Amino acid sequence: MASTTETKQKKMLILKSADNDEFEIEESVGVQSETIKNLVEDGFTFVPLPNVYTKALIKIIDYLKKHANKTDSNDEEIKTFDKDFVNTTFDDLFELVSAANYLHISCLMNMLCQTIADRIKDKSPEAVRKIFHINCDYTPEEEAKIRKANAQAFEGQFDESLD
Amino acid sequence: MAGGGDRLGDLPDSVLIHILSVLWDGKQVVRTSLLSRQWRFLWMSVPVSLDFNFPVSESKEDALDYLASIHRELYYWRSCQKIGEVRVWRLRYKECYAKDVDLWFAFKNSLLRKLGLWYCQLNPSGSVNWSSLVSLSFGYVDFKDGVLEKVLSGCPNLECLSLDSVSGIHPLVISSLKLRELTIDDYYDENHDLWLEISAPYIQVTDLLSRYTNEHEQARRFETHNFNCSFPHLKTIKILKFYGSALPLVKYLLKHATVLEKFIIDAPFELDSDVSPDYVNMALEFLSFPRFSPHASVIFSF
Repeated sequence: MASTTETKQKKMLILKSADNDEFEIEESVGVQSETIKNLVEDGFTFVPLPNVYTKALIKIIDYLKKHANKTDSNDEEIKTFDKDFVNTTFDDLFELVSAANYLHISCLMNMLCQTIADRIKDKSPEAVRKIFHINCDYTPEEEAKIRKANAQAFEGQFDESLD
Repeated sequence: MAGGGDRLGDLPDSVLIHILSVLWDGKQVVRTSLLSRQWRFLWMSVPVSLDFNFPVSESKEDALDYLASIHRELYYWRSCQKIGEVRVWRLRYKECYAKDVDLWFAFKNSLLRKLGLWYCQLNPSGSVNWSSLVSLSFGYVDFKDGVLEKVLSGCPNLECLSLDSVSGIHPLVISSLKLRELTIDDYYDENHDLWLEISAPYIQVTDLLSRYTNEHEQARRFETHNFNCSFPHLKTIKILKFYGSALPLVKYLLKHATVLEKFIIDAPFELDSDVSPDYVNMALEFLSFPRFSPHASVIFSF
């Protein structure tokens, strides 16, 4: 279909991170975030993001640019990009998931949550605690009580490995 | 590996629930209650989806055994705030099982709102009482003798109905005020001259997906049909796998859907065809059709 937007000048937005760095992006790239879209609809072109730090914002802008240019032919390329995108440390993943949640980017949110969930899948509670450094604050009696309340869920063998 | 502290636990509960909701196994979700106090009750906010496959057996005992196991499972999930969806395969619904099936909808704390029935045989002779149901899908079900009407009359709160490859409906009458969304994903009938007639005056959103591979057959169905209806509430229409032969239908819908807001037509891209249909001209043709609703936007993608 013919596009008329190319002849017009592209609308730009400025995003400001929590550590006061400013980034200029095209409006069409930014509005994939519901939060930004709502602000744009209210006429804003300068968007302060007090909950998103520069490191995460750079990665997210990268993601939005890639996904804004999605066509049928670069499907594989985007899949590879996504795979590399989530192949990072937990600290980065948590930072990104907080940012994606604040910015309301649902496809990114799903992808990040799936990546984190994959590390929980099939694992024993003990292994999950170790992987994510979760401090168990139950007493042994409480733990026994919870196991008993949902005994069916704790039947069987689980993956104890930490990878 | 994470650095020092519990960074996962620092995330807001809504994000943790989102993470839990993409774990496919409900029991895995429950096991997270053991991680720490913070996690103890989170699992209850995660909608679980349950699948039940009835044994391939004609015996009544096997069916009753399996029904009992479904009850146990639903009882087990009773403290869960909501059950996302229950999908059932190969249930042969007869009157003798009606009370058991009605029970699925009676677990107070986890009302069953979404039900999918696949390859099931339905033959309710008494009344159906599925009052908590909001969304109902059928796949590969034959509705002889007004079965669908009976089922629908027992679902007073239904909002979405989805029919995939079903048969035997003559005609499809939806008179509920609450039912707003109808999806028809292929319909077949042994008698090819019988049309699926739809009378659903309160429907607001409809998705139609046709899988007739024979284009001539599809053309015959659309072109010879004498459309005679109005759509006082229809706001959104989607036609997937569109072929040129459905043009008269599109024209008719545009002209008669008085409050239409969105009409989405998705045409297949055929790789194996030498002559690709002239979609550009077709798109222009759509735009030239008279529309009753001044706010209707037509989106044609190919």
